[in-house]
Amino acid sequence: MADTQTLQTTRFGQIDYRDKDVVEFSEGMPGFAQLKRFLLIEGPDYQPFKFLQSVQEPSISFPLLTPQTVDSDYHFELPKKERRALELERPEDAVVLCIVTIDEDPSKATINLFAPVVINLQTRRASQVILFNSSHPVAAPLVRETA
Amino acid sequence: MIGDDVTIKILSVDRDQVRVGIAAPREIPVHREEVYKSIVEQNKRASRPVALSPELLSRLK
Repeated sequence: MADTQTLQTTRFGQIDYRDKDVVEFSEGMPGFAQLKRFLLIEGPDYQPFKFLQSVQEPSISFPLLTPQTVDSDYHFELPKKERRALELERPEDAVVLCIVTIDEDPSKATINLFAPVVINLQTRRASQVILFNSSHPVAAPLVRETA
Repeated sequence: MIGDDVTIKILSVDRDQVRVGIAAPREIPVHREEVYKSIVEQNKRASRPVALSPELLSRLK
């Protein structure tokens, strides 16, 4: 395909993508304000993980999981300002994923339930929303210690 | 006065003792800047290309 582009990444090696695959964080993410364009990557090798791979910085990728992996009752209200920024009209267009911090020690992996990533699959607009008024933890343990 | 709702009062001063009273609501929200910094810190750690170990994947199955 004529509009296919190639990206050499640290985590995935070579990735071919098209412009319409790109997810746009117009504000970037906390600590990464300058990185706006990401690819959402999933595959059988990583199940149940998904990744956001930076298009601009090949060494940067974020592992993500659905929050329901650790909290089946997870929910929050998306502030109106965010809804507008994401051009989100129907809740079913949104996918919610939480960033996972992987440690070399698997039992120390954590998931950020306080600042979930919301992606509008229709418009490809995305944002890491900070739920200032919630009590969700920034670093919830991902796996329980085996007894 | 500290912030909007924390009051510190000197209740009494003795020769070698000062009694201080602190009035504050039960739950004081953590300052937003501190919270934001912790998200930045978490994002930075999460962005490193650490390999997914088979052990972690199997524990999530």
